Amino acid sequence: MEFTIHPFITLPGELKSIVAGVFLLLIVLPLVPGTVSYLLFKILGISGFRRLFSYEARDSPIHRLHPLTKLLTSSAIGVGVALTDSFLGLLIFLLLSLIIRIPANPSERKVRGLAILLISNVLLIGRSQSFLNPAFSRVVTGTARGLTVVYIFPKSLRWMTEGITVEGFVYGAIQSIRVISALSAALRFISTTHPSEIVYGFKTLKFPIEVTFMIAVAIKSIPSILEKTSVVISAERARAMEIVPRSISRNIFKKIAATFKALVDALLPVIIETLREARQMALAATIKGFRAYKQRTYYKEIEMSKTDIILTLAVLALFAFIIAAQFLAYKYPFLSLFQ
Amino acid sequence: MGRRTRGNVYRVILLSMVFLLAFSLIFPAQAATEYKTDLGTFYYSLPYGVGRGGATYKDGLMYDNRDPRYGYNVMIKFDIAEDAKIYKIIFYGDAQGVSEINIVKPNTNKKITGTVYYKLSGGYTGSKQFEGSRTTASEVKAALPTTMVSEFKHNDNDTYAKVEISLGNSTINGTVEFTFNVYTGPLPEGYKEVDVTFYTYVIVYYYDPVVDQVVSKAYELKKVVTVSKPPMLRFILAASIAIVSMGIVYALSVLGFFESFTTVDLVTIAVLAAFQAVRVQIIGRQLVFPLLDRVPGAYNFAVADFPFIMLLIIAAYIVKKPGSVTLTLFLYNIISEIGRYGINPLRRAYPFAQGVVPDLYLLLRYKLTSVELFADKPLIKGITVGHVDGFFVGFFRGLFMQLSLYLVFYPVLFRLQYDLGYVLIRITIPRAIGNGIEGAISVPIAKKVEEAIQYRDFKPFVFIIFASRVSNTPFVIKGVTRKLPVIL
Repeated sequence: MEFTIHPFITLPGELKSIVAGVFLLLIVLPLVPGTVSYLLFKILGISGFRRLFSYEARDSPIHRLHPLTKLLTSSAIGVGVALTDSFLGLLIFLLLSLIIRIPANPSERKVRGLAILLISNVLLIGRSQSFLNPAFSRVVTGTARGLTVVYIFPKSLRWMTEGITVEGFVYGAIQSIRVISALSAALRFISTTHPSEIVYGFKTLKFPIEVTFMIAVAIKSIPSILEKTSVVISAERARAMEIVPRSISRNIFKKIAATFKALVDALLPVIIETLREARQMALAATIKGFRAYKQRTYYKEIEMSKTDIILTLAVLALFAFIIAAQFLAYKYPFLSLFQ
Repeated sequence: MGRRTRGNVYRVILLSMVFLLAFSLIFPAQAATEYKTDLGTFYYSLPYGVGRGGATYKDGLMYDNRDPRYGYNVMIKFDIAEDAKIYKIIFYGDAQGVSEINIVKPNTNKKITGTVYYKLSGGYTGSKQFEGSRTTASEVKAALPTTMVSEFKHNDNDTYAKVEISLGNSTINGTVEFTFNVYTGPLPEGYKEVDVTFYTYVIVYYYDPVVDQVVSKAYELKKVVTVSKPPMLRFILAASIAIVSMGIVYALSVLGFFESFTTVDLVTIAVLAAFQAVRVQIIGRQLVFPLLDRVPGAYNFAVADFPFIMLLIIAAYIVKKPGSVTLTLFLYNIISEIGRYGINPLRRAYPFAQGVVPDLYLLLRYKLTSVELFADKPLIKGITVGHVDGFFVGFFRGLFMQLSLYLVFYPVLFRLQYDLGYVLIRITIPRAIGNGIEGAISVPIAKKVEEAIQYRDFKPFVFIIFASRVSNTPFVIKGVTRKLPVIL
């Protein structure tokens, strides 16, 4: 271990520390997230990610729920994991966020993609906390006493971190439950709610009409942007433009610069085209009297069913319970599970 | 929007800034009480370290009824002066404190721990960790002639943790520290808080060149700690963020803030925010970041952020109204929450934290100089007012985004702590500079985009389209065909 991270053993003292520091900073530390991201990309691919973050049409009880009910569920889990400290409490929220996906009958690909995404999040957060959290990394001068130290960084890197500890990794992995619970709940929301219906959730929450309108326009624009980007990139590829360097050669920096330029070049026509369309949309909205009156009418009204009302009340009760736990755990110790 | 309404809007924006500033100040860095002496400096921290959730404790404040499984750590550290020749140190750490009610108790479930960082004659340096039990004194012998005895003595009149450190005939030069644990009982009825004064006595045996022999000196370190009822700080904080942030949005709406934005402005911002979401959450995270961030320095200087900043600058450039930056970021965050992070009202302050300052910059810059925002007016060779505006919008966004993210939102919402050195030197400053440069170079691009979409000549443009459709003749937008041949 020492040799793999300190391959500069023949260099004199301070110089060795500086060279090792630069080597670690630039090569070793970014290697882990780089490898995880690469593997993630290799396993899932762009289409896998697009599938993961898009609506999946199904006839399921979850799909039939009112958008507000789903929005509040997602929100309750997000708030719950933010306020809960105990491991068990976090696990309960994670399980909740995963269990509520089951009635939505997700496809096998979606489940696999989600599992890979969640595991990679646990690994990456665990990795960063193992050496960047001062409570676990200050193994030489600070608080991290008696921890299982995997590696102590050279002096030249001590301004940033002092060591890698197992406890830091475990802490990060546990804290990542907050992130993956919220992520899982969010993905459930978008994969079971049609984009045009999302806005009804915000409308019911009495968001200002301008904000609701902008959310609707933005959500509506996303597929159009993706489609246009795909067309422009295909057109550029047809003109022999290399978007991603295929091989690492001597002129790798030139290739990266070319990639950068290609991406900007691909982006601009799409932006301009989309903004022009947006202007037409604004015209259409103005012609139809948008913002002319304070009271708005809607083309479609989504009514809340009995199930929606019961579930919404249950979610609100969960919200109240999470909030109450913050105050009452002081008197009733079992509530400290959610504190 | 009238002058009065505008004034109210600015007041709301300023209030939101004050709120965010207060929010960030609630999380102070742990600061120990310092005692400077001829022989070195003592640092007295209570409570010390991080809590269950990972948040750093505030020095000098403990909450009552603390579970003995966790308790609070007391840490006394002694940085020995370079020229001092110290042979032995004895600490008597007060584990109960003096107060009108007996509320602090020594935690006999936990061991006394400590470390000696030493430098021996001949330049040999090293450290030794030790651990002592509470009830029986134990001796820890190291490979070096180190003797450390620690005990927790307890009788009716006195409770203390004792640590004795010596290196035989060698002197200790470096740092010596030790920690022990205490816990708090419940505050009785009628007490909201109580002050407890802790005393620690340190006896230092050192070589005095005047008398040419080893002599001792005693120091009394005093630390006043307030024990109070738990304030539900995080919950109150989290709830206030959500309520105040949403309150700001509603207040701005009621005050007519959105009226200053035309429907075209709203749609422009919405589309560009959607672009940002696609760029970051779909294309960026999957394709661009994994590749580009591996290039040394690229992550720190936020190279992959370029399209995001460019889109932000395009929004600010086209709309040119105070609030456009915050609104774009606000919308981007909502879309990202829907698709990735999960709807969380506690995150609502995040776009304000990063967008309000750039908006205020644009507002103040215009008010103070009366020069049009992002103007093409040259300042020095090759640099225009637009470049400077773009730089500061990007810089302030990067600066406040990273600070709020790493110092407020990560610790509060995800209990993820990052070293301040890492946050400032490795993340915040380079990324703010990176965003600033990206902002500056985005201005000419934003100008081209604006020319291409012709928002300024809105009515004539519509008329031309109409006329051309009626007459069935093609039309050309002056200047644009020449500048952007690929697009048209």
